[in-house]
Amino acid sequence: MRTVEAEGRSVDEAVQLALAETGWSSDDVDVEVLQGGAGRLGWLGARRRTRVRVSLRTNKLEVAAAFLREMARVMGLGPLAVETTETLDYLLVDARGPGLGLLIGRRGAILEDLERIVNAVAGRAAPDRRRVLVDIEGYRRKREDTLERLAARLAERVRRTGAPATLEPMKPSERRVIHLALRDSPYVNTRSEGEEPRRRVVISPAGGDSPRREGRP
Amino acid sequence: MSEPSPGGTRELLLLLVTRLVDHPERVRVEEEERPGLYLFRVVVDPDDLGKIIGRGGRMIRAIRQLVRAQASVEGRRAMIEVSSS
Repeated sequence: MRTVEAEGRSVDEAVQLALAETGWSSDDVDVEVLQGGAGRLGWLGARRRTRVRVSLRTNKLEVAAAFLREMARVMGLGPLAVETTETLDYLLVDARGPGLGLLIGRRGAILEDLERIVNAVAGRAAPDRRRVLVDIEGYRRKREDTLERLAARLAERVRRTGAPATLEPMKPSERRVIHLALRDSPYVNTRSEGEEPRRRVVISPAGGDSPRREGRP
Repeated sequence: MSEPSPGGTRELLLLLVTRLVDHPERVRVEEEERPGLYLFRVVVDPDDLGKIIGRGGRMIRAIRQLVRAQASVEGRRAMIEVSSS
């Protein structure tokens, strides 16, 4: 599988044998010495058998990026430019390339399906709890920017008129962008109303007594 | 059974399915071509059926959407049936 054991007269030799056998790069593996291991002393260690276990280190983000590249190839699309970002909370792959718009779909619907599949595939390969966010041609970021501007514009109208504003139905991830964008506004509150998939955000004026509020709905 | 689809629709389906299962060597994709339509029958190991269908059918829905998008490039629709061997 992703682990092999090999024997040699030194750790180096055993590891080299394992790499030669598997074709893995020394940059991508973890080495564990099972037996012996003092073999770097030339003839002193020459007769000692050294046994190592070499494990291929899998990086969830790299698996995800490689999978997207393979998909593009199979779909007959041109080569992808894949940019990866890693944070403590999430992993992001941003792919750009000819014909990729197909994978965004109407209002990002296919992008969500793609993200589900990428997470399943990459999650099988690497024990990393962070979610892989997939972006195509910067669609996700542009959509977030649009939602943030919409939130700011509506919040301003609510503040001016005192009348609540109800947004169109959105996906949970999109509603979250609105909630977060207005979280720190002293003038408006946000909450979600209705049932999926018609759940929508309502922006209302902050309570009359105090423009500031504790917590959020 | 027919020729592999030119736009890689069948290849895409095969890639998605084999990467999601524990027994990729047991995956079979049969293809029936009708006017304007691909009908794919995916057969997987019984242990892998749940992985392909996903909780609440979400994974198979996602697979269908991607495969349909690819088929639409050729101006075709695509239907996918899944069963276990």
